[in-house]
Amino acid sequence: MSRGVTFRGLTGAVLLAWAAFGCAVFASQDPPQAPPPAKSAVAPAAAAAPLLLRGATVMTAAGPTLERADVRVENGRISRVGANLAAEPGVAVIDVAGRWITPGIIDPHSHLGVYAVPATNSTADGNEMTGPFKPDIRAEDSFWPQDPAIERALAGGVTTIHVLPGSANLVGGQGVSLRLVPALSAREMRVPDAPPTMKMACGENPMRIYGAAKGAEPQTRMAEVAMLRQKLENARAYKPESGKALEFSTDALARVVRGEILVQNHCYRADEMLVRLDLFAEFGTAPRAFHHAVEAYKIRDRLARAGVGAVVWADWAGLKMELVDAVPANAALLDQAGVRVALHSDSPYDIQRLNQEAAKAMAAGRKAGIPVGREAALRWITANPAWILGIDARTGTLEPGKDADLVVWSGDPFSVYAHAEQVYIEGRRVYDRAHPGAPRSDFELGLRGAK
Amino acid sequence: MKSLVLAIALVGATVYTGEGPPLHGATVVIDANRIQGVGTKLRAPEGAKRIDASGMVITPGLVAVATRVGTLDIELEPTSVEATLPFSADPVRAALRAADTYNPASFTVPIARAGGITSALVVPGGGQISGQAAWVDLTDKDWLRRGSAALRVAIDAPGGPPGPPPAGVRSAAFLRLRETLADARLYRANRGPFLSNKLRELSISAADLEVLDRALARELIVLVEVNRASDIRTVVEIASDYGIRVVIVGGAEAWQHAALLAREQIPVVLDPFDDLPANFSALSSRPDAAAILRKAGVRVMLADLGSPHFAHRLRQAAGNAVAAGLPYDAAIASLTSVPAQVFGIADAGSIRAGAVANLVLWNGDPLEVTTWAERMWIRGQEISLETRQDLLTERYKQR
Repeated sequence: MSRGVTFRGLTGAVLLAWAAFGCAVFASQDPPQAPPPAKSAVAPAAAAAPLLLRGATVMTAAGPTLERADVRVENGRISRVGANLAAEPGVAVIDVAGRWITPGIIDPHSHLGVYAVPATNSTADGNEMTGPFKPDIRAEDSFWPQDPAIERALAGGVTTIHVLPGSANLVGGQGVSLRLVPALSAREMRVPDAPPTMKMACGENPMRIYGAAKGAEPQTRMAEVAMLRQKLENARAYKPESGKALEFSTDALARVVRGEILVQNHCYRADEMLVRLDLFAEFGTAPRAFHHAVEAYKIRDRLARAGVGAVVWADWAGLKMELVDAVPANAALLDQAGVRVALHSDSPYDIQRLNQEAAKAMAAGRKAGIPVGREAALRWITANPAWILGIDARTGTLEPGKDADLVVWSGDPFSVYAHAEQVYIEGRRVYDRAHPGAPRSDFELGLRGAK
Repeated sequence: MKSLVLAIALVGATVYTGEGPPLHGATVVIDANRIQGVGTKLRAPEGAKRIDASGMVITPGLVAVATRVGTLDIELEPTSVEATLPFSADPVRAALRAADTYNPASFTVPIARAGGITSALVVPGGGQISGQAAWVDLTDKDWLRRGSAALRVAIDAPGGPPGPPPAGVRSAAFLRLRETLADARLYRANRGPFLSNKLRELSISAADLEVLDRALARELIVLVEVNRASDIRTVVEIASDYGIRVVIVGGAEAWQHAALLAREQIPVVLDPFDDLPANFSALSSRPDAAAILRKAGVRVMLADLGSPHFAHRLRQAAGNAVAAGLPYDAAIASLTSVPAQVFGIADAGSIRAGAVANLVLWNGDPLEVTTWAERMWIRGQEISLETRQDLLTERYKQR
């Protein structure tokens, strides 16, 4: 595994540096040939049989941990959480005594499907490095649903991922929130009603990909800002003319300016994030969240005031100069200041263990003397990323009315020894550790070898 | 007492000695740079400095095997990266020594220490026969334990920064390896004629030949970075043909040859995080590879083979191997005593009388993700676990 072994971990954000990874793109909300509204890929909720998961330690991500509690699922939604719930006739009762239940994990920054494994020329599909502005391209149009990493993520308790283009470009394209249900296209995996998102990037990657590698602009951070300002200004003035073809790129940026598309902004350094906040303020808007945001702890009061989220790692540091001030207490410091903080993987490896990432970030906070509750740490991988993606009305906590996206863990999910035993999406069991069956990915059929 | 340094007694901890099951409520006594004793009935010697370690865990210092810790500061800043000569420079450079440029002040070192790592087998990057790995202790001075602890050979990876391998790298790599070993064998039998210019021209330099000679003499272990099952079989064959001692590094598909590797007594360095079919040499990677190999009798060392910026994750990697079926004591051994034995650093990697006093005091299970290393001793000297990250956190916590 040349690249796998030697440089595992350098996916997305960092690997970019070499391979020129991607960015995000967003699409027009209702372009002329707009795709039909997303449908759930899991069978319609009504088809999921009612369930009662009985007797677990339940962490709802919306309140205190409940001992020996039950979770009832009807029509694909959580209907009740509490002790000694009655099992109506026809309800499948699943004994999960001694187990733990949490909401399904949500990864707000993934390149699964667009930088699929095995790494090949064909699967390097997440960065359109032909120009620094690509607001009209969409990650979902590259997404390969046969990526073998998807099943591993699911086995780590992940139910929802936000797939983004890479960060080569200032405006990289549109992201998409997907549920990890079996499907033949990204469309079938979309989280219904998820708002559109736009990947943007600052800092080293666009400088390297264009300035250093191609002698093109941007070569510097100041050019990055100036170029984006002009594009946003053009978009603000843009008015589609009737009878003329829609300019998808500009229209998409116009929707960013109007706040209709959530900006997910790759940005590491505190100073760059502040510049970005000022730039967006010129247009009366703000990013939804800064991603990677390794220096967010330095400006946590500003982020809290601006209502801008932070998507961070537990312990990545040092890979690039812009990661040099990364600290493992970042998430804890941000949480304490009232910033909506989420952990992300940006990696087909870390996505398999986001529960461990939350545990490490929690421990790092405690080690630094910052009190972090387990419930808060759980929100870093559930409720908070749901908010950052604008899907918190339907997923991210175990509250009545929410989608029944949940994980049954073999033990304390903040232990390295815990396994996701069962994973449910909209009340459907989509992973069962006890009965793994054949690989989900067509690619992997016959490849795993005999034990 | 032999030295003026006060003996230290760590009292009441659960002690993983690196070999076998733990001792509960045990005492470890450090005298100067050695462990004087360990046991549940051991009494702290008169005048020793006593440290209450009840409720805590002591392990030998962890060993980062096949790491690039200390060879760079910032992975993607070439000015800070050492020992990754491009492949094109000269693919065979056995005489290159990671020890020559190992930098104890590298940004990567304190973060590794905070992860409980006291020692490292530091490999040079780049090339085909990349050079010699150094065994270092992560101290600020006198760090070198062995300047030539192993020879690194890359079959899969040309090493250094990622990118596509040169075309046909695998077959070319095996060709070059065989050619090099054949020349070294010729040299071994004809040193006199070679030095007096009476031997045919050899494919590598005299300095490289000297190093390979030690490999043929079985003094120097050869680390072979290789992942595909069929390639691993070829490595076993070459090891047998030339009588060299090899260690498989990477070994994504090594589990398929568990019985063969056990029979040939070839150890394997595995990264438990590498569980994806990341490329066409690793299509059958699996998270329980360490457990399978161990069960077959293969000596397994666990490592984080990613960027050295992730070296501190070694214990988490081992925790995941345990979750995937590796017995706990074997996981601890794989991080401590096994590498010390395999690479012949006889007094390292375990807590027993006479061993070098490299040890870590943890506030709980060292393989868990919610614990941390509280204190560390290297060769009997307590060393600070503070990182630049801690200083940054302190500075900004106050604001």
